[in-house]
Amino acid sequence: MNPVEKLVLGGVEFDSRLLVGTGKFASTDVMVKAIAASGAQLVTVALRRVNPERPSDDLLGPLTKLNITLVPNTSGARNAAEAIRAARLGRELSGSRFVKVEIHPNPHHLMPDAIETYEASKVLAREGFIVLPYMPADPVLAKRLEEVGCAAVMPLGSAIGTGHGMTTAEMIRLIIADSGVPVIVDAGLRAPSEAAAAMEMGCGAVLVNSAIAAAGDPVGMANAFAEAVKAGLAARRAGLMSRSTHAVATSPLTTFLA
Amino acid sequence: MKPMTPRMTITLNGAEHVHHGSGALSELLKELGVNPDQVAIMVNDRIVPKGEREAVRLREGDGVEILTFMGGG
Repeated sequence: MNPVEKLVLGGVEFDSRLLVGTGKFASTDVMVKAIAASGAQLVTVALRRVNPERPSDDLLGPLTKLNITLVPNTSGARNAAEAIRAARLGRELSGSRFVKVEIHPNPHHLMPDAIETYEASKVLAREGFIVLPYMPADPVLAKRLEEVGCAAVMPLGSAIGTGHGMTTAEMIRLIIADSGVPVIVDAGLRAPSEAAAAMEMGCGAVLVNSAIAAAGDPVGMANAFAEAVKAGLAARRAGLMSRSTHAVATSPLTTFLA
Repeated sequence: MKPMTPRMTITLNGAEHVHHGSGALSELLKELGVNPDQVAIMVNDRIVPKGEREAVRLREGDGVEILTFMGGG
């Protein structure tokens, strides 16, 4: 665990352990309020072609008013070359060195392409990006991504937008045990309790989008996730009790009524 | 006689676009009603950094991509 109690990514320190995405919100207004409620300091965005028919349909304006660091993602890229180009465009637009490398060629399951993700991350880290790769929950790949200079690894909990929670928990445990960089669970979380569990397990942070954006009350849910992440981290630091295979009484078993 | 506004056909975000102007990127953005601070631009697959936009003059047949941020996770 990081002794200064901050999340450190590429030498930059953050107090918040909750990263949020900006997709799927019903309106920009709700998105801005939810981000504020989440306390997130790192916020992901995607690139798209400008639509001259809807020039006012812009995110950058409202987002720059928040005290956050943008993390452009490379969504839409189907291979390393496209992701590298998207990352460079994202940096040009955001002025941020952060990039979430996200390469998922199959829209059915949106599973990250391990090979292309590795290749893109290697090049971008060398170019000075702070690389946060969205990746399959694979301990070997996690180590390889760390070795090429990624600032964190971001294994998926379950498929993007499914809300199936941490179906990869055992793999994520193995990744954490061996990782020299923060492990950020990205994708699949639905409930704040799952975010708390990830933090208790030793994750450095969690990244949440759909669970907040698609909640009945996104602002309320953003706040709930913020609290859950704090509680999970506090529990981790406090140290969970060890498990026992048999019952261990908490009250005296005196048979004074006999 | 009025001087003719130059025109050129470019490929803009994958579609044909007739640009009426000198080919300066600032003119193209104005024509499209796009805020220059909120876009990244690529010309013929090369990223044009903000500081170098002034130097670019589009030519007939150029491929231009203008990108901005949208919501994403």
